[in-house]
Amino acid sequence: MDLSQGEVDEFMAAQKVVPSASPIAWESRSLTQVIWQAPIEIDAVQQGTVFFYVNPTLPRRWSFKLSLHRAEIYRVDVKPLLRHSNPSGRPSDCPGKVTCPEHEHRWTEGYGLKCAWPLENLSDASHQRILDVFCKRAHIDFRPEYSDPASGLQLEIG
Amino acid sequence: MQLSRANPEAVREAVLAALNKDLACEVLEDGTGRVGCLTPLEYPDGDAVVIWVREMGDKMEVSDYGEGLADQEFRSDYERGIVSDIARGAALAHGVAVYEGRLGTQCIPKELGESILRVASASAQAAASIACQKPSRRKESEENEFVRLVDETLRGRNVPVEREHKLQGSSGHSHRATIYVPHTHSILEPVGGHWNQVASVYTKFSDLAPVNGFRRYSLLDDRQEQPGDDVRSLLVQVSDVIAWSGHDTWLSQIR
Repeated sequence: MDLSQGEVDEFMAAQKVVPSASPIAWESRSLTQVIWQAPIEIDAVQQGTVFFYVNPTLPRRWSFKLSLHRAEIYRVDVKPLLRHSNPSGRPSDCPGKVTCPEHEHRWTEGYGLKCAWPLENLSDASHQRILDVFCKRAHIDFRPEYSDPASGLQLEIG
Repeated sequence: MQLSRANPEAVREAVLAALNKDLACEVLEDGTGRVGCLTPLEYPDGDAVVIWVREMGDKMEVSDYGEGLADQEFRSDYERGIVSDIARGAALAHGVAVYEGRLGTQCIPKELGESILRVASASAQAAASIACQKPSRRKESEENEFVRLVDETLRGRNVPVEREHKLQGSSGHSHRATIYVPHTHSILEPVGGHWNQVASVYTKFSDLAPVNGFRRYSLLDDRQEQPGDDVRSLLVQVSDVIAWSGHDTWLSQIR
């Protein structure tokens, strides 16, 4: 199922909702992978999912992803150390390299999610603040009660 | 320096310069003393592979801290088993270990550079090899009864429907849409939750997806209980997913 830029742009621009009202229930899959995912709907029709990832062994290592059906179309990443290389032929506003720990990957026809842009002025932002940024940029009405992924998790690097 | 096939030293220095340009190391500012090493290798999304180094007595721990296997969102236990196999294969190929989703090794200081490159290679290889997979199963249900309920409800709301409408998939295989709404070219496949049915709908919609013009809906029977997240996660890859309990809301889209 190949996506077109028009389909992705339409889905991104549409007002979407993560309907569950229960709190985010983080699932620890391993020492390095704590996740949560939920369906995302437009007018009661589920068209995709949101997926959040936290790596507790690293400080401020978070991902927030939006998928349309099986295709990941938008992602906000926070990584403690980053160098991202954007492909040649990228959109004109897309920089060659991104080194900003807080950055976003936007789906681009022909490149998928390989193109990244920095997100400025978020260097001290909390996990919840980054979630807000993700939802705002992706037009998501996020209804589940927020829960901090660090609560109940113990950092273990050994 | 002259660059030619007859000058291997020039080639070597050119490669070294390229590697050096993309190599950087920083201390992690969390008080643990760990050092992050940005390598010239990249994950499929274009992010550089970062390998982390930590002193452990007279040895060094070298790890990717699970970043090579981070992207596993639609995975059941079965699928995670396959991902683990991929990780073990990548680890074996590069002479490193895999533990709790992390690829890494321990080494003495003089082996550090080589160890970082081996772990980075294994991590990049594992990330590039991970492929999509499938979910689990649920209860057997009264599928025919649910189809009849959907059919009667749509007709009762003056939505013209056809049962078992023939459609040709991209493979050339002939499928039957359980419920077809001709006005909007919508295909509704009621799904009770039994795994065989879920898999059948997934296959049908996968084959119909490249055929232009059809709107594909997996209609979940949630009258008694919600189908599992794995069912939704699978079907949303090939269709819009709607629940019976919300039919008052979504009906306007398909009529």
